[in-house]
Amino acid sequence: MRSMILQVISAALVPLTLVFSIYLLFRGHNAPGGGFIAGLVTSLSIILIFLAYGMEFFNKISFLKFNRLFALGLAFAVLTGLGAIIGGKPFLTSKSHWHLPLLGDAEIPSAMFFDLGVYFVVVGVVLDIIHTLAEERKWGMEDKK
Amino acid sequence: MKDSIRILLVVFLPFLFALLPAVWPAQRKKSLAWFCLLVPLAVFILIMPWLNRVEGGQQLWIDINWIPTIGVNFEFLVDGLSVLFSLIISGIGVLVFLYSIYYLHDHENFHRYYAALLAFMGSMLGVVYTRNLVVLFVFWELTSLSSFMLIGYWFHRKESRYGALKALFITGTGGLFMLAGFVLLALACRPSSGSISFDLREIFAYAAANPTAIAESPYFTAMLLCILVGAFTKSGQFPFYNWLPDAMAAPTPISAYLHSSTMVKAGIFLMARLFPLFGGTDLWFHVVGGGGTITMVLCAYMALKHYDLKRILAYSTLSTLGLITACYGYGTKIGIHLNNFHIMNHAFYKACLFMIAGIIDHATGTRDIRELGQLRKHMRYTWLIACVAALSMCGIPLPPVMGFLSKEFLFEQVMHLYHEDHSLWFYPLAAFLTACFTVGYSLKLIVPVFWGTANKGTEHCHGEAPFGMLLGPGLLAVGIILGGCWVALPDSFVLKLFLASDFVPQQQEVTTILHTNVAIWHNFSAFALTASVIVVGLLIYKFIRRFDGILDKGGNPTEWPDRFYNFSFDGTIKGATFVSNIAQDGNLRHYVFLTFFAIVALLSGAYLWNDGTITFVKDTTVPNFWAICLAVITVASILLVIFYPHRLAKIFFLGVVGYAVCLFFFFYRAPDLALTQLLIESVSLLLFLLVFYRLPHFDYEDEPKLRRIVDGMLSLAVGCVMFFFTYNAISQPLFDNITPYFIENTIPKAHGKNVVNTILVDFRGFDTMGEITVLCIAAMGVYALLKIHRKVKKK
Repeated sequence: MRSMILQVISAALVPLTLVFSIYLLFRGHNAPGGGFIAGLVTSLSIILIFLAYGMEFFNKISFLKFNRLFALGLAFAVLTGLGAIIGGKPFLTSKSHWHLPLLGDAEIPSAMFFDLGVYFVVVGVVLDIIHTLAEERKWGMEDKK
Repeated sequence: MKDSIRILLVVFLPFLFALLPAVWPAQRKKSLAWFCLLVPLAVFILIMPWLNRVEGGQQLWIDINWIPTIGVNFEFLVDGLSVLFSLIISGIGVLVFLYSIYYLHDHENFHRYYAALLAFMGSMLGVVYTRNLVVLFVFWELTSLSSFMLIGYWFHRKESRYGALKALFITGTGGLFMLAGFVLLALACRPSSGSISFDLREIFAYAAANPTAIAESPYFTAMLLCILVGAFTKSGQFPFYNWLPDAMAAPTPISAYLHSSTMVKAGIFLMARLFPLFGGTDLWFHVVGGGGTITMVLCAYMALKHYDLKRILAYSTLSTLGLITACYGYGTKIGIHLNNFHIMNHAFYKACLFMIAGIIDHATGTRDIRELGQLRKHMRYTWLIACVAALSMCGIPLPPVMGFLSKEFLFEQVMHLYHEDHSLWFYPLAAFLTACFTVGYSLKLIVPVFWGTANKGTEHCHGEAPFGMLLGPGLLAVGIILGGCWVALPDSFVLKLFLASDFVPQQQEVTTILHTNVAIWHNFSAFALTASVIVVGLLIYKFIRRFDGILDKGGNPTEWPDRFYNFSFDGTIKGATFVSNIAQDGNLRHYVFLTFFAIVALLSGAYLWNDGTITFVKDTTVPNFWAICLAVITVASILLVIFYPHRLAKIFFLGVVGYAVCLFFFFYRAPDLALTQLLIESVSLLLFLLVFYRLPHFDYEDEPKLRRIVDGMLSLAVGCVMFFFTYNAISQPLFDNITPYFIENTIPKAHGKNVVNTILVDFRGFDTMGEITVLCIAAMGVYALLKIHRKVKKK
């Protein structure tokens, strides 16, 4: 039994929350937000799809294996640190001013990429755990006394 | 090419290419194997130009920062010793990679094999090139780990799993001791003004400036023994030799590479590197010299008792390693300077023999010498190569082989030792016995296999091995003969390399001694010695069976290390199971009870033990009206959680408590925390609901009344303890507030206005990296536990 109201609302809400989570990710360095929060919002919105539409639909649309996602995130984080070593500084030193060849000067803190890695890890971990747990039983709302 | 780039390539290129099998398509296995062959070849070519640079005794020092604040940096030293070892590693690596292509069967998955093999090669190169002790330890452990993956390659076989675990535990434990020894060494050599340094260059400089600093340091015995435990476990010296024969469960190319030429030599390399610091001391002489000698004789004897080709070779390797170790222990001039000659020699003939054993295994399906015979009719080239290698192992001068020269030098040393001190008669006797046993087991390797009577193994023989498989051992055999013929050639080449390392006191004297001694028939007594060794060896081989039972009657003391290992391993597992069964009986409520009880007991116990007092701070500010409302709501929800009948509703009330905390954060102006709390609460609610359906039906009213009272009291106790603990911590601040530093520096240093975020990803980024790693491990754990449970349920 699927709730029609939930399906309609989530169809409208999920794209909005996904965009909002990306916004939270990018604004993290200068305003409340950041990798952890954005990751949680993204995973919650995908869980909303799962709640509304069920397990089979969820499996059909998830083209990504979640364990690869969090491994990718961890790799991002470590590679950002290694990038500092290539630049001759100790591990995980951050750099903000870049002199790009064609585009001129840019100010992007390298901690941004680290945050991106954190984001992928959170999304991957939460979705992986929820997916694994949910597969054990068909989702249904029963009342247990 | 700049030296720093070259050294980085040499050490890290194999690691980089170790990632390649992960992305290589699964079908094209043969092309992966051929591509991986290029890596050791590339490393070999990269090392060649350094040969000229280190010849005159020069060294190259290359430094790359890693963690400068605790003195751990990638500091490399390129000198004769490291270049020699790296040439062996990469050169034999090329041959082993080539051999693997033909050895591994088509149906196997090569990706794991090549990834681990390349990682091993990189770590071994790291061990020989680094001069920072902690980085050396890191690479040392990496060799243990990759060796574990390689020995256990056929993980479905019980003996592979056993051998891999045994090797890992023994060498890993040794590695930890070694690290302790390194720290003690760095402490002993700490300059009075500066901070501690793990750089060998500075340690040597300190030791040169204060010659007695190390020997008279209070840590001396502990330091030396710990480091030697590390070296002895890796090189399989007495009493840690029992892991190597069981490591023969690995595929043969791995045995040829790791367990004969490279990994087991790491311990020897360490002893060579640290020799200038510890060399003259008595403790070194007795432990290293004595231990090496015992290993030498014992393992040569044990080689005579086995019938598996690879096991005989394993004990033979241990015996030779014992010989080299003993020579480092004796500390005679000839011994130190010419040990490397024997290292190179051993690498050549042992790798060759292992590859031959693999060829025989491939062709006939068996490695037991009792099932083989008359193979020389079917496998001509294999027979020739095996004979050359075996002759080098025995030290027989015909045809001229390098092994003969090694044996000569060994006898020189022990006689020199005896002349100096006549009470050391054990050493020449041991050397003589070892040489005889060596002849004995070499005969055992060759004669029953290639001559003798044909058995069922020979009947299965497919014929000669493919050319590619023979190329590796063939090249090594050619090298052995060439080395023997041109006596000056390998000798001066190796000698130049070794003299190039820092640690040679009198270069001139050594070269003159060498020039007078290097010749094959240099005097009659040496010739007589060799002849008698050969005769005694032949006799031993013939009559060994008669003496077989004698040692076994005494309870076979050679097996004691093995028995001890098995006993401690099984004992640890049994002990752990016993403790787990007491504490973890499967009932979740008991676990929760125990956990909370432990928290209360430990916290209050520690507080009362230290005579803690509770201070109440008089804070007269009236809290926010909304905060009071929230507090009331929170308390009300908690009471509803305890007393409301419906289980599902209880979970939702828990969620209300969580959201109330979120609102607290909101009112006290912590937006990031509020957001995080809100989202985490939602996710936890969902997780709880999902797990909820797996829990069995349970009615708390059915529990006995006493149980409910005890539970209630424990809950109250936990609440009170946490309340007093937190209250006390807030009211007496022990440290200065760190917030001002972060608020001041967030824009200039981290270029971000959100202090919480910059702390997370920039200032304390390393902690965050650790946290996300833990998250990944938790996810993998949940996945693994649930999937295993499903498999068990299906059964």
